Amino acid sequence: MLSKARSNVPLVSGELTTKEVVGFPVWEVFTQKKETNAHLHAGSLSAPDASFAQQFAREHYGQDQECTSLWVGLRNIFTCDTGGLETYEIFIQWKSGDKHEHVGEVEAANGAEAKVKGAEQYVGDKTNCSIWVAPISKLTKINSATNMIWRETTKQEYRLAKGYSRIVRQKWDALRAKKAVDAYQEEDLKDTF
Amino acid sequence: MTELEKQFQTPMVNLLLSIADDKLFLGHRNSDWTGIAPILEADIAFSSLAQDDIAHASAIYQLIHTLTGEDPDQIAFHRTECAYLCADIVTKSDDFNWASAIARQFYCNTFDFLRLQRLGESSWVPLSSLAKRLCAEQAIHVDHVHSWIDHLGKGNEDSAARIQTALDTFAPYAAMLFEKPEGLDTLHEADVLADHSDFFTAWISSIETTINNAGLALNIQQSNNKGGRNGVHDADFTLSLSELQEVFSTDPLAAW
Repeated sequence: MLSKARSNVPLVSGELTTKEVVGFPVWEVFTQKKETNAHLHAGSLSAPDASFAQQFAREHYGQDQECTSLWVGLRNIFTCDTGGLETYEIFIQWKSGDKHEHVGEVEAANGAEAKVKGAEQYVGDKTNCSIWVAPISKLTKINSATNMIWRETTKQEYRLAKGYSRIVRQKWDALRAKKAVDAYQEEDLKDTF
Repeated sequence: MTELEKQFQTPMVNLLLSIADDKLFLGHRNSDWTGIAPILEADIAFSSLAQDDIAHASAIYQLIHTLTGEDPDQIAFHRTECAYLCADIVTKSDDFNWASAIARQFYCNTFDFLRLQRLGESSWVPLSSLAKRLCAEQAIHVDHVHSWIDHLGKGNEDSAARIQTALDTFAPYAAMLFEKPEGLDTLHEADVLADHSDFFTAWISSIETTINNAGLALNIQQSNNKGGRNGVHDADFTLSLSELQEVFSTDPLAAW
């Protein structure tokens, strides 16, 4: 029998005393797995400000694989045409479905010019690329050399998806391929797993 | 020194148990929030930090194993109540009040950081090297929870009132973090550890800036009571322990 320690667990999130906050801005996160790798788009998150965006990014995207560097910026800065004279980071998605990859930087008067310059310098003849640019002053950059992100002091294997082997995947695929759930329920599950 | 002299073994094990038990139970308590924290990202982050604490506990149980030869899982899960040496703040229920969870986390994380920093200076090398490595990770926890205190304190009247109440409610339990496990003075006298008579005041000064900057007040008194560090626990601990031992008592040899 379960102990009573959690007998007062809220059944649905709406029962929590703190109301869920909606309307937080969306932040994009880029991570670098090794110092020699490019920063790749890891995903996005919601946070009220840059400080929390950074804290959340560290735990959300900095902890599911090794991470030597992490960049965070508001979603709307990556597609913005405006801005001032400064350095812009250039991110390119080479084909649909790929992650945006950091390729370098350009000096530009605004976002629109940064996109043009970025395309000239990094895209070349290729077509159908998506370009994001971000003014460097609006990106929060965290470098693990001075500010630890990925923790390797203690065993962290449990954070990685390595245990989910190809063989387990094949078994699941085989199960899912069956037309009816009943079909495999009738089988001896011990034989399947 | 890499070998610990025999007469220091029991006091050292007591000290290590107090640290590991703090982290095991805090991680266990915080994992209660997985799936139901007030916002999705806080949920992910809190779960990640809870995993860290349990990993830290595991590393320390492993160090105890090098002294006693006992299996780390057995040490973690198979003791009687009075043999657990955590301070009861780590198992004190937050009643699923986020401000309480943050207040508890704030006191415990900042205490742990300072404790690990000081253990990093121990003359027993296996302890000092582990403490230094854990301390680097503990700094991340401290940063994270400082952000929460700052945001809740400066958020609005409601959030400030809630976090202030939680800080005040958990303060007497936080003071009990400083209770000495049995034999600690022996380690000080033999210079295995420097004597940190300023521990409490150093901790206060490490947290009061954050508290004050957030517009909050720190109301905490030093305590000389006997409690968790000497195996005397309250009802919340008993509940937590029985929950923690459920799987292990069902199948002590389970592996996963």
